[in-house]
Amino acid sequence: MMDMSKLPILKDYEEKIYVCNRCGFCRPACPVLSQKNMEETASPRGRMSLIYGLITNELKPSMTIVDKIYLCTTCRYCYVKCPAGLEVDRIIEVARYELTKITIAPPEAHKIISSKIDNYNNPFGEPQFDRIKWLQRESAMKLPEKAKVLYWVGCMASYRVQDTAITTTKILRHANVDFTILGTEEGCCGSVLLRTGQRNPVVNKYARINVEKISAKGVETLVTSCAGCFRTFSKDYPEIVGDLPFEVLHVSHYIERLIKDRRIEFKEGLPMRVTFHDPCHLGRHVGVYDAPRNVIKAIPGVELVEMVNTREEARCCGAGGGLRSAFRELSITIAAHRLKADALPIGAKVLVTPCPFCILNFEDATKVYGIGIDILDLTELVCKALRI
Amino acid sequence: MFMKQRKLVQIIEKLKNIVRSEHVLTSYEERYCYSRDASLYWAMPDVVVRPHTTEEIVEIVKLANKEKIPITPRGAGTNLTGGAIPVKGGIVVDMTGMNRILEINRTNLIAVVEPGVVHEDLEKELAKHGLFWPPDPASTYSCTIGGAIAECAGGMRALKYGTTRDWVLGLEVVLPTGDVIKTGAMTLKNVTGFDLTRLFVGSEGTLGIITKAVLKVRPLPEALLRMSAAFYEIEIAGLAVSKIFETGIVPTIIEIISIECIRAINEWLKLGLPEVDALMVIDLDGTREEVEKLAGKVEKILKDVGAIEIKRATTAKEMEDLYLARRAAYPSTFRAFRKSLTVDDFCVPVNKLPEAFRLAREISKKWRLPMAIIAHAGDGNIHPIWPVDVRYPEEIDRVLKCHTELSHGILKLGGSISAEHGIGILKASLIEEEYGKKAIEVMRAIKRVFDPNDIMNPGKIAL
Ligand SMILES: Cc1cc2nc3c(=O)[nH]c(=O)nc-3n(C[C@H](O)[C@H](O)[C@H](O)COP(=O)(O)OP(=O)(O)OC[C@H]3O[C@@H](n4cnc5c(N)ncnc54)[C@H](O)[C@@H]3O)c2cc1C
Ligand code: SF4
Ligand code: SF4
Repeated sequence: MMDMSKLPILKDYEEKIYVCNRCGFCRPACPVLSQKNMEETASPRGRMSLIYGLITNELKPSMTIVDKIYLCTTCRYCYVKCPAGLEVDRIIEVARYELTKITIAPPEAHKIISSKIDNYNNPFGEPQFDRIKWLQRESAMKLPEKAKVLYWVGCMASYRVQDTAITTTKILRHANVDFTILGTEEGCCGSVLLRTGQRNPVVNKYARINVEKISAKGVETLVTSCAGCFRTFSKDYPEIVGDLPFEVLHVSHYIERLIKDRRIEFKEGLPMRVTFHDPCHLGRHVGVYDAPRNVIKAIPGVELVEMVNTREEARCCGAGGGLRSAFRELSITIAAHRLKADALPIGAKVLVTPCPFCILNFEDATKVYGIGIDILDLTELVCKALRI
Repeated sequence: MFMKQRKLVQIIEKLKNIVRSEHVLTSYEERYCYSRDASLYWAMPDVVVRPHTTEEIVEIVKLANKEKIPITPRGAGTNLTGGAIPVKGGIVVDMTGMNRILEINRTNLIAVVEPGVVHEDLEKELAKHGLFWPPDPASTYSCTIGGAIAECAGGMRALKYGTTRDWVLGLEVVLPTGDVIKTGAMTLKNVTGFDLTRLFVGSEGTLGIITKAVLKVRPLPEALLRMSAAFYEIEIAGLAVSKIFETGIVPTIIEIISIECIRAINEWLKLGLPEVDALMVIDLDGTREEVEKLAGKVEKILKDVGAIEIKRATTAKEMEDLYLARRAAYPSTFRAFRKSLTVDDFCVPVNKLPEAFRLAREISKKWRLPMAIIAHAGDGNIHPIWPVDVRYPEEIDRVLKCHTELSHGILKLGGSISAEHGIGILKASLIEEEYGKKAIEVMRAIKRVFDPNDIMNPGKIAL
């Protein structure tokens, strides 16, 4: 099928690729590079060189190039550091798409994910019915057929980090929000496919189907607790299907709104010292930095201590861009580095973050490396404060 | 491919016995990533090695010397003159893996580092101890200390503090023969024999591989006062520098940026800088009383010369904005020109600054090149910046011709063709014009003493 979306192709970035003057300012930012002890081939500039080689035909597409181009979490930190303002992360994503088009990419792990999504509607290959298992664990409740707000749970929270799904629904119920979910009708948003160069099924199918299903519920606002889904709905879908017929909010936005409207009130204090980790796909990708912080600050007793590298300078957790699925060990060392280099030195005992991908990776890192720090989803913190 | 395939295979095997095999990069794509630096040049290495200890480097160099294979040391590859380009192929030795800060000693005022430490990392670590290392190249985010030493990097603070050569006390170097020598000392003073440390500083990797450095550091000054002044003509800004010096005041920095940068910064960061021909930023450091007193004097001089909008930064925000303005000059010019940039580097006696500015503009105009100027003006150090679309050889050619013509002009003014970016490939043909034949012969003779087989970064500095 023809790609009718407005998603860019490599040619669209050609001018930009020639602008890179190899100053290397992007190098120290890269979470992958620091784990590879600064080897140029694993750096943003290295990836830009390889893409330059592809564009100028000085290089032919090869497995080595695929390897290097997929060593990226699409964390976008390099973009923040680039004096020319080059969106290295997007250029990498588009290069992945071109390599996928000629079938030498993606790596096997990502191909498997794609086929699982195709067959099971989720990247884990779990039964569709299990998508609402967490809901059964939560006291059985009836959700309306139609509602103003739709909570988009996302695959990660549905199957792997179910606490996030449970606490998010608890909060919505506590605030008497007229909301529903798609339940077993929910599928994958396609985030992982877009990030790994496999955009076709998202462009041809998933984006449209998801938007249709959501619209059919009469929804005005979509709320999601996943930074990856949020980026996909708020940035990618409009490029694929045009403006969406509903508003897209991350749960941190929505809770901030509920607090402001006094639909949530914190009556008791929660004496706790926490730090906050900005998920890349929420922060650098969409620019949401204040909403989750405002929620944390609204809880009496909670003291928020910032890490040195924070907001647009936040180091990545290592899970994004398909890195966790294809290079698990590397991905977890990146998470461990974030905790050890940034969170521990400020004496943080609890790290709060509003993304199930970050949570999973950080939790794995604490186990593998024995790092003494609790990882909490923002919604879990809010539930604790509300005593629900 | 410079080496015969069979020999290369043997060399690679031997290298893999010296360092872990994952630290020997052989694929075309991997080597391609090491084929360029921030200059306009390009050449493929035959193999890239990433050592992590001095011992490994000794073995690598011994092997290369025995087999007469060229070696090009490389830091972060941010130099602008082609220093890290393996023009004769051979082995690129990537030093970025050796990146430990070994010691910071507040009492002795020294820091001991491995060469791959990134400049900004050192700066941050030193700040935690209330210290700083004065050389501050604008490439701080990426460049390594080894690269800074090999290029004798400067920066803004060079006016008051001098360049890298004034802040290195000692080195450990692996010579092209594989011998390891120590130069200088861990002490603040030392005249034990010839000053080999200074010989290595600025030697661009042609005499040996630096594996450790003892740096002289300073406590951070108590107070810093920042001010700016705008000028209708950049030549007048140049003149103002001489006038400040004539009264015996030496600020920490005197920077000048031209209208092209000012406009670009305003467009990007909305700082509302006065859009006149040139903007000057001055820093004074010392005790609080000192800087207040000096600032008053400097303001008066600036006014007398004809500066407008002389402003002292009084709040932290104003301090930051002005610093940002200077730091953003390069990136915003980048964004405004929407092309890759070539940054040149000259030095003139301070009283020749007005002429040098005029000359840079005239010659750029002649070659139909838009140009922005960023100048560490207090040093007489000018960086003309030309945008270049690397897809068009004709455009690159014009930039190079403009650069050469300007170099001749700068030499006529009694200046130097390189203030802080080195010679590399770009300026090799100009070095004799600056020094004469005999001086080059002396340099070549020194090179032979260190490197009889000419394996260490061959093809650079006209050696
Ligand atoms: C945007 C930008 C701004 C810049 N601003 C400044 C500035 O303000 N002031 C300034 O002085 N320079 C500046 N530079 C130039 C450059 O960044 C500096 O020269 C820097 O110090 C080079 O360090 P590097 O680690 O990148 O070295 P590389 O580029 O990798 O190497 C530079 C030279 O050093 C040699 N070398 C590297 N490591 C070793 C070692 N361990 N032993 C022996 N030889 C070695 C190499 O062979 C090469 O000849 C700038 C460059 C850019 C791109
Ligand atoms: S997006 Fe992140 S992981 Fe990818 S190249 Fe840039 S800094 Fe590295
Ligand atoms: S920071 Fe930007 S211009 Fe510099 S090397 Fe990286 S991508 Fe290229």
